[in-house]
Amino acid sequence: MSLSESTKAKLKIAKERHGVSPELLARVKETNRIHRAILEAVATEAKSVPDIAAATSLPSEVVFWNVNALRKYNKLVDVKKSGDFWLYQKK
Amino acid sequence: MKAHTLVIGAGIAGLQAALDLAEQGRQVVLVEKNPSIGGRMISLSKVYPTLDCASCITTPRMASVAHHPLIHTLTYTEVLGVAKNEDGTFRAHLRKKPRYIEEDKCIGCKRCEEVCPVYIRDDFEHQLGAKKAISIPFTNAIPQFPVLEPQSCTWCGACANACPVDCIDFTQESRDLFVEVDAVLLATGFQLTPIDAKAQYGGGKLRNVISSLQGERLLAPHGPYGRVLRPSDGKVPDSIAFVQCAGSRDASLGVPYCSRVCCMYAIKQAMLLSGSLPTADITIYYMDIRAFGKGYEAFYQNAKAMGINFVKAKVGRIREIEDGNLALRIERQEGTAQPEEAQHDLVILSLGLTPQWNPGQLAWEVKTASDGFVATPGAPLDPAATTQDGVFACGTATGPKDIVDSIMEAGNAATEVGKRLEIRAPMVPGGAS
Ligand SMILES: Cc1cc2nc3c(=O)[nH]c(=O)nc-3n(C[C@H](O)[C@H](O)[C@H](O)COP(=O)(O)OP(=O)(O)OC[C@H]3O[C@@H](n4cnc5c(N)ncnc54)[C@H](O)[C@@H]3O)c2cc1C
Repeated sequence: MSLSESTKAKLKIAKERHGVSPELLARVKETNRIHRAILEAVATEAKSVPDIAAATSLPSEVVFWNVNALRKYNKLVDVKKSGDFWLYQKK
Repeated sequence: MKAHTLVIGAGIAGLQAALDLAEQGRQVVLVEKNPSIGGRMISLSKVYPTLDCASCITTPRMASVAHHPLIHTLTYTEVLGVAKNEDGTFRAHLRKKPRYIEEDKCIGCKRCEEVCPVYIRDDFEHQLGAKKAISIPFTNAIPQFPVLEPQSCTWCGACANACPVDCIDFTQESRDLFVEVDAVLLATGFQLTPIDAKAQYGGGKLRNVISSLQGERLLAPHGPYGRVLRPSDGKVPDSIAFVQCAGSRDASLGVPYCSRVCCMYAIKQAMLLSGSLPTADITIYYMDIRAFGKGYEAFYQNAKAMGINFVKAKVGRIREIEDGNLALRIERQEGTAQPEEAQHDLVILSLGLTPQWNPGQLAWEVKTASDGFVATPGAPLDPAATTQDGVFACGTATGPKDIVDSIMEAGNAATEVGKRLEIRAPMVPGGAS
């Protein structure tokens, strides 16, 4: 389905009214990059946050926040506990 | 719009007062600045001293309010001003903020949220979890409408494309409303002292130092991680510490008073943690334990019997050591006074309660007390009356208190409002006035 002409016109007005900051666009791009890296790291094997951090070279707190974002929106699941950590895998 | 009473704030106190007034046959306009009703209580895990599930108690009250024919609920609405008319009635100027959706069309299906590409920090989870730039505030929010945050939106149109009922309105604007009422009831609640107010505790900087409301979310069934884990790396914490009076009883913070609920909520969280993590060591560093309500002392003694470690000590400083673990410099208040260092995986700061809103900023004579909460000069005999005739207050708007006391005060305030209404707008047989 594509947007109706009136919705397109409203979107244009909203964009002009509120603007889109370059920082926001950069943040969205960066989040997409992080999500791709995390999902790739857990595509075939369930991993803990420290292991995903090591595989992606991302700070563990960034990995953990994004792992939970992806979990909330059904892109990955926690499968089992291993030692002090849960293991996450792509859905 | 006309009504008998304007209730400002839809936390447990405002909800209860609105319901009680409506049960008296009075028309209520209930204004809430957040997108959902429920206040702080709907975000708590379980409640002391009964350990009942907070949302199981709050949600039915929220639903009763939302469906009551005499209560008109306005969420995501700000109070811009309240003026007293010459005849003693009040005129309130309200502003309904745009959600960027048409509420009469939206079916709360969440399709917009699913497809939105922008992930942002979730205020409801106190930044621990994620949400989208357009999202329903939380699972059991009432109403179940999404809110689009324009500052985080890239205006890609994905939400509109996915919406099955064509309810996204990107050009929606705020709408001003005016309400005429006979009485106003303030139930505007509390907020926590800022987590970074005591720099020596590292709140806001150290990754595993969290606030007590974040602690509630960790323990909540639909919390940000789905279980108790620490923010720096998702480790299951094995040693957890609570630092009491981390934002109260401290004149340097401007909060010299006791916040009344922190001892009990820390004991509650400690008990719940020990239930979720049976092998974890849990320590509460405290100045003194104030367990003053019915059943509270027994609750405290139960926690001790469960193995929660109560240490009478002042915490001087917290610093991060290897792997995100934390070293606490403590000074015991009993036995040796030599400073010691204790290590923990996760620290929860029991922050203090301060008022959420100062009604004095509206051009009317509602004064606040020296602690900033709404002044109720007649308390304790008349705890609902403020310094302005016809304006009443209840719950934590007037000072720190727990849920039981907030509900009790709400009931009392509804009775006091009812007495005023009986004089100004007497009920006629059949219910109308
Ligand atoms: C960590 C923690 C745990 C706790 N656990 C327990 C427990 O287990 N048991 C217990 O008994 N108590 C507990 N408490 C205390 C409990 O949370 C409060 O007693 C209760 O939530 C107070 O309800 P309230 O309605 O007064 O305020 P709130 O819940 O703060 O509600 C106030 C409402 O007013 C709205 N508002 C504010 N200003 C405006 C405005 N200008 N216009 C419109 N709306 C406005 C707010 O958005 C909010 O929804 C806990 C407190 C904390 C901090």
